[in-house]
Amino acid sequence: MRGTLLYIGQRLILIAITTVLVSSIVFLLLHQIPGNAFLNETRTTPQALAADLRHYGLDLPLQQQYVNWVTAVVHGNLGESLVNRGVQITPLLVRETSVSATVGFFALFVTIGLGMLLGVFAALRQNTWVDYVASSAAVVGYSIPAFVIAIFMLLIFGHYFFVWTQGTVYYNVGWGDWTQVPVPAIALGLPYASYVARLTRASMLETIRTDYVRTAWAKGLKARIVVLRHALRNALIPVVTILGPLVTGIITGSVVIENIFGIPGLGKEFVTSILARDYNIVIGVFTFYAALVGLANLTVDVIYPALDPRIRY
Amino acid sequence: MRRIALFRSLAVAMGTVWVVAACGGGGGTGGQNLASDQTLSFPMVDDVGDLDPAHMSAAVDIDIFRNTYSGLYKFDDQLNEQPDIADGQPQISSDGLTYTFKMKHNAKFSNGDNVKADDFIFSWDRAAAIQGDYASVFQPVVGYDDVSNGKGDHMSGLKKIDDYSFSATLTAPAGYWFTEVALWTAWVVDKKVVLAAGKATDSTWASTPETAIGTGQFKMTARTPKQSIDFAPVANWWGGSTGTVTKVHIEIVADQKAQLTKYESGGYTLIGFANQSLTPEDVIRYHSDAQLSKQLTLQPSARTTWVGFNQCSSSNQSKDCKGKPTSPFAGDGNGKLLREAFSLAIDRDQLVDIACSKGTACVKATGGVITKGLKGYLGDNGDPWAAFDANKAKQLLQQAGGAAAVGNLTYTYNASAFNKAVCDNLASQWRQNLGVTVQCASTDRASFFHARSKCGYSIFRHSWGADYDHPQDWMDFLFVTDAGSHGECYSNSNLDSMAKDANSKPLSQSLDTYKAMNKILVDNTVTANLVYGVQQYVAHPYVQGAGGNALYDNYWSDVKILQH
Amino acid sequence: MAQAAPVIQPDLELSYEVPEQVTLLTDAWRRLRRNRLALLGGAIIAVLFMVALISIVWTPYPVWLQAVGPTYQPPSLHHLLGLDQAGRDILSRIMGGALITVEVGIGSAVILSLIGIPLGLLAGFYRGRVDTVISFFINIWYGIPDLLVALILVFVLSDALHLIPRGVFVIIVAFSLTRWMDVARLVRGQSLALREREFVEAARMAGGRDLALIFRHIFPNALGPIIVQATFAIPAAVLFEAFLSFLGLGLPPPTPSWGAMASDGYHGMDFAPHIVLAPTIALSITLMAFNWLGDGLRDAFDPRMRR
Repeated sequence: MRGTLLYIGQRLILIAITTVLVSSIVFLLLHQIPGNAFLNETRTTPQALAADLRHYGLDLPLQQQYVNWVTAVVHGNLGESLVNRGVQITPLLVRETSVSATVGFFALFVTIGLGMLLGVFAALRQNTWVDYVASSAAVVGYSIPAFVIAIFMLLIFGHYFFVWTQGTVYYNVGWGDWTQVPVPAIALGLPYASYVARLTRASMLETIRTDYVRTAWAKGLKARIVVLRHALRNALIPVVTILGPLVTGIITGSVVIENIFGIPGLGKEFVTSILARDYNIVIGVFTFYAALVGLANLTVDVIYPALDPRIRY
Repeated sequence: MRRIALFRSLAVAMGTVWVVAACGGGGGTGGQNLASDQTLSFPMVDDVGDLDPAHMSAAVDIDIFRNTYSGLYKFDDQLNEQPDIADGQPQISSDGLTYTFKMKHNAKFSNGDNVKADDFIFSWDRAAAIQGDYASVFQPVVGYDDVSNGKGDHMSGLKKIDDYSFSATLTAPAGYWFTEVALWTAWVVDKKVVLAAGKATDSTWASTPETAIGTGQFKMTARTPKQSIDFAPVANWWGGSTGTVTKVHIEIVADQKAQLTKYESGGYTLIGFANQSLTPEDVIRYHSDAQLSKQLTLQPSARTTWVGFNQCSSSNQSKDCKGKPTSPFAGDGNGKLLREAFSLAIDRDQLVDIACSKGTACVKATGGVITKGLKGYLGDNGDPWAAFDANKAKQLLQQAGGAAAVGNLTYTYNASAFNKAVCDNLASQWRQNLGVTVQCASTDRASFFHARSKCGYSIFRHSWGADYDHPQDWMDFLFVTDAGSHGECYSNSNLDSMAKDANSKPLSQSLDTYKAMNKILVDNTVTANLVYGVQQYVAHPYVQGAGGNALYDNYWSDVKILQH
Repeated sequence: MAQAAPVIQPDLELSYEVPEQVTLLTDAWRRLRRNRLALLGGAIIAVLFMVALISIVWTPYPVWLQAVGPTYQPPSLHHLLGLDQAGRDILSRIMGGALITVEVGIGSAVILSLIGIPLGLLAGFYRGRVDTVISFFINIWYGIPDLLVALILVFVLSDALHLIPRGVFVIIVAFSLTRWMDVARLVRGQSLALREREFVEAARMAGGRDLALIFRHIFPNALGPIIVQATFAIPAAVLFEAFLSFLGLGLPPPTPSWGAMASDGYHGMDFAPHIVLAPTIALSITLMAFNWLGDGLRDAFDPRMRR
């Protein structure tokens, strides 16, 4: 137990360092850009520009800006939006993270739930039509990008079935209405679900063919259930190993999905800010993403030994 | 998709009062059968940028906050300047240098404070000190330079006479200055409140509903950044009635499609306030449908978009041209032939069909750079180079040395869906009609405006939205030598002296000069004028008073929601 | 605790065993031939390449030409896939898009191999400190949201620093810089195993220099798995380009990128679904084909998967 805590502590420190490191790179890259966010085609004068630069501390030497930025980040302050003056970035991103997380968790649920369900069924009914349908769905599904699935779903639910859905799957206003979550979450989770299905099927097949399962199978229903539970637990292990990249994938995918469905989350903010050249927010979102990916990987590594007793730190 | 239009204007707004059939079949236009819920709600693609009048420059911000702030003068629906807090017209000294403003005694801030001359002088001084994009409104005032350079905090030209009158002295006669006094930068803020919140130049007070105090009909009641803003009418407003609207709710919804879906299910009163628009596909759908088109208003707006040609050559007097290579488009010889060829080779009907969503987002520009409907417009078809003639264009190109004369061309624009669509179409037309391959390059706004103002692009997107209905706004900031927002870097000493002369006179005496200047620009094909702007509004049939004029939306107090 | 593998290829490290040198290719080909899905994938890819090649010399209409007919026109005999919002022939643009796709896919596979293979070989061959440093970087790189870094790289390299003009190449570079780890880790594992094998040992005894050992003995024997890995990088790169262009951060207009075409069309889905359907279907089929072929190759090169 102590060992685990120590391990978690070490990892948290590493995550903090990686986060600052990665966002530092983004910070330095973005500050190489000539010009700045304030010029526009109205009557900007040199004085007006200087006043803006001073306000954001952009008139300081780069080293000084960097030191100020790191100091602020360590204190949890990501600064002020360049486009929406006076808007503090940290609370904004915290709010948007909760939105993205809602969709993300649902997507993860879809991925793992649907994926494992398909995988298990395909394995149990190997070489029957169930297997073929599930396997073909998987082999097609994992090649279709999330944004294409999103477009198809929009076309179906937002247009052809509009009378039925009344567009609730589409508009995001006053986000928090549960009916708005499933469609984007499915679009986001589906490509990875087919992936999980393939994995589950393979490992289930392997387990099912072991002698003890065959014996139990032969003995009747109750034992069958017991063993299935074992088999399932074994099948879960490879799924957990890919959870880390899965979360990264869902985070990346959410950038497109949130843009398509107009979900006011981190991904939407990321793209909007890049297009509006609100560099402070871009760096901020990036810092959040780096931390999220790190934390997701850590969570996986902590869950892993609970499932697979062979692994110890 | 959002037009970053600074301002719209055009034509004398045709009243824009909606003659609408009330829901339920009745023909009631009297607005007697009001709905019980008088909430005005509409979406915006992005949150407001600046909440402090001294910083504002975006149309979105101005369209919203002109409901919460006001100044001495304002523009009416016909874009004529009318007294607001001022009591009548100013007294102007015979040399045209000193303006004496008298104020109404009953004007009050939303917190009940009286509006006094001190507040105006304070507001104007801090606007000059803050140096927002429009601080130059006060440039003609004596003492402006000291304040803008940070050497002082008071413009010596502003003098209080008593609590309700003050005077402003200019360094030189400026016929357009009185027009500029009606701009947002000259709105009044509450000196007491601002100073209680911090330094005079701080803006934090403006983002907090409790301290965002103005003299307008509405006041901000709540704000969640990048999510929503709420307003309510000021009780017992000093200026009289605030209309029937009891609440204004604005939501930030980045996706225009999502906005419209919610509008269609009754979630919004209207879309279009605060410089918003529909997606090209949706506006086409509304425009072409007999029923839906009744909900759509297309309001000409005061923005012109054109192709800019770089004029830098060794003989160009612009400071920013120093050390720049000679542009293929410069000068009166081959450069002029090329400018003419590139302008003639554009079929503006096709451009409008494709890039302006069949004319619902903009209309073709045929009368010079100043937008149709504004003072200084040259009249329909006043620009001979805006007529499509592929054969003549090819001929002119051959005269100028053929495609080789222009070399590798890149048309640069700041990234936006509209700019991209325009470039895409122009490149297609130039390639088809002239045989010249032009690359499209998009860049971010900041880099774009920076490089453009330094004469860095040879052919590029340029556009201008009028700040007010006065040709000086176009000439001074775009076409005189070293104009602040030039990109063509045009330099013509003749034009410069005409501008100087015209600027010192009232518009009634100078309009012809301005028109002559506009003609010079057309004759020299300084710009290939493409399109004039259109502002889109959609509103439910039971909504009265949605819409606006060429420059602004209607005041929120004009909106009425009928029973439905 | 090993870093979890990427989504594309979860269990590569486990599944590879070094195959017999001589029979490798023939053996693999024999098994690949029996995999119908892989063959179908290969056939689709062959068609894609042909279309891409044809589009260089001929498309029904120029990909840039607007207003060849009314905007949003649905498919007809004249325009088999219809016209887009600017009145351009969609079939022509799909063909042009195939070329972009091939360029991005193959280019990325090559460049990221050029980054990943040497690093993997070095780490696996020298072990010790070299391996520690390289493995550390591999693990750090796995910890970042790769596509988003790549997105910022595209933006910084082309728009901000003007190092590489915005185009296919900058996308390839940005993608490769953030996705070289899979290949590097694979090659590292392979060379770790191979350097202990008898034939390498023998060559070392015979006085072979390190470079010669690496490139004459280790690299050729790791080639199979590398090809498999590179094949899987192609759909990832294609998807990245589509992702960027869909968000409006990719190739400049009028480049007929499938992602950009989907982005152009998706607002008009209500009344002109053909604009968005054509590129998304083309993209999906292409990704599928590469994944099928990749799966087939992996199975073919991996004796354990023998059926």
